[in-house]
Amino acid sequence: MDRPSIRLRTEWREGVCTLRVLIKHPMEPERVSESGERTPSHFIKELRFLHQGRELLTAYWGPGIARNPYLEFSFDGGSVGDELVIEWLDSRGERDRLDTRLDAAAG
Amino acid sequence: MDPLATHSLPGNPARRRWLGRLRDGLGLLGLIRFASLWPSLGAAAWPEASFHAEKLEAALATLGPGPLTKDPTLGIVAPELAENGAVVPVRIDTERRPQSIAILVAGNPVPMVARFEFAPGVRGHLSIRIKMGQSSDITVVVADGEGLHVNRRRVEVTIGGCG
Repeated sequence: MDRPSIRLRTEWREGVCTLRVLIKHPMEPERVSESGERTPSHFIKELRFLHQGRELLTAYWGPGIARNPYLEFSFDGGSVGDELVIEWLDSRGERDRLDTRLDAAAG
Repeated sequence: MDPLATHSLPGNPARRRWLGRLRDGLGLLGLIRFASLWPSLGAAAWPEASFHAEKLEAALATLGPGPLTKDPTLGIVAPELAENGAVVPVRIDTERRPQSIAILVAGNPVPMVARFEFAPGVRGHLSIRIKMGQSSDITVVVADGEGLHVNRRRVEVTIGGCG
């Protein structure tokens, strides 16, 4: 990964933290050409969020997630400055990881 | 950090949720997962059977042994007409506190689109963008301590987006 694949935006409302995550990834299903040539699928299989070192949300995906995946969810009990780790692993064994802290507003 | 330790305080609501999970049979898998202290990604956690199922019913069966209960309060926001099946935005809203949420599309070559496992503090709201190969129902299953709750939303797709 020459550039970070994971982009995060944070929003707070009444103590609830909303995370909006955009990941750069092709999310390709398996393809078979007319000549029978097979191109294996290439998609993120696991995406995990660790908050203060503890598992917050884990996503298991197939090839049915749109290209450049977007995910938004909210959770209680977070504070500005908390540690957040976002990591993914794809079907080719490639992976990326973002180590950050929860921002006051836009991340 | 051992999550079981903090979740085992007597009278703690989280502990009651745990017991509920154990009872409903689904919870056993969750226990094994939590007890393994966050194995690194790729440690055989990806639910292969769910994603290898070629039919909706078979994929649903991988979510657990309990019956699926229709839940009209489970909100699924998606376009009625999606011109481009390659990018269909879906929003899920439930007042329940899910332990897990699954998103399935009957008309896709791989009906299981996504499975999410939630820690107790996570709200029952998700937004995501999925692919739809053809006009089909989006089926969402929410698992909590009470069981499996299901709802569906029909989406007409002009140009399929799975190939």
